Amino acid sequence: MKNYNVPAELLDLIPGYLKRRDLEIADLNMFLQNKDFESIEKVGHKLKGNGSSFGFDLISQLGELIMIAAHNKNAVEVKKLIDELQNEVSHIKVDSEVDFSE
Amino acid sequence: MEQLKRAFKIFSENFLSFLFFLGSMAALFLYPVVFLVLLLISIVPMLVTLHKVITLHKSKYKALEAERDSVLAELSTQAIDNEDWRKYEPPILVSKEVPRYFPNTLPIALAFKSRPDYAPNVLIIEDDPDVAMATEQVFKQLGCNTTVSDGHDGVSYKMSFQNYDFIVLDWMLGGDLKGDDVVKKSVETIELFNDLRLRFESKHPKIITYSVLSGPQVRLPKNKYFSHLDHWNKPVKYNDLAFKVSKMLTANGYQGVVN
Repeated sequence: MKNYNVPAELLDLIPGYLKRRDLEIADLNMFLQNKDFESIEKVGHKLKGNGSSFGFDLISQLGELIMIAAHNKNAVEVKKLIDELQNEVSHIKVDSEVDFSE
Repeated sequence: MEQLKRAFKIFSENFLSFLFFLGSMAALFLYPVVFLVLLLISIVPMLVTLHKVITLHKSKYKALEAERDSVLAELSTQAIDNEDWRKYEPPILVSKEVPRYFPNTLPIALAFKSRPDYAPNVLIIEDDPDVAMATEQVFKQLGCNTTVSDGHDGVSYKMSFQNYDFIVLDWMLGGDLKGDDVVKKSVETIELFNDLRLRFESKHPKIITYSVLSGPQVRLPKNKYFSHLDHWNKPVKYNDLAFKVSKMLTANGYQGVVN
């Protein structure tokens, strides 16, 4: 991967990692719709913990911001951060050159 | 006749003394009997109660032993790959023929290999599959034997009955489960068995807490079986994690070949 500092040992795990982020983004949107900020905070907590391990520092940062916004029950901010997360995951997918079309 | 009269007179004069004598003799023989009867009356219910307690304890102990045996049997037959998330990923392949010690990511000086005669056993308790896989990868590449658990598969039994050198413990394990719950349950199990108590009192497996929460927010319950070696604050970059693990293994006597 050109634009991300992904450890060579984890390259094989990236497709699975990105698929799980897609599922989480869908979950986040659903939680936001239901105003379930507690669940959003939990997902943010998880993102904060795992992003940097794979070289995706921005995902960790967004995870932390999602946690804070959810804690403050700030739906507008959460929505904005989910969109940013979606963007970042899309960038990583393009950069990884893995086919996610299936 | 005169003699009889005299004898009767003597007898009547000493009648009271005679009665006292008879009373004393009776008391002398009866008191021990009464004492024994009272003793039996009081001791029998005590013995019955004691018997009940012992029987109950034995049956409880047997049930626990049976539980332990079944867990051990399950653990020995079943590979510890029951986490659902495993199906999303191919197994992590680490080539045995050509070991890769962080070829691209670690400076050569930090590359580390565990001592060849003993590979530390590491239990990784982590509910996030991605962090679990990254952490497992680091330990495997440093020559450790690893077991991964999401914390919800009876991991406290694994901690108690299996022989781990290091336990990497995520604090927030999903649901309401926290790291200290896992440790508490494991300690309770160890307390029940003499052999486990002895093993853990002499070995003290080392726990490394690993969490988004900071160190002061993570308090391991006080116990005499596990020691709290360190706290790693997430997020941790892969190389930093490899460095921490390498340093930890070296500091704990697993220094090996530096490639």
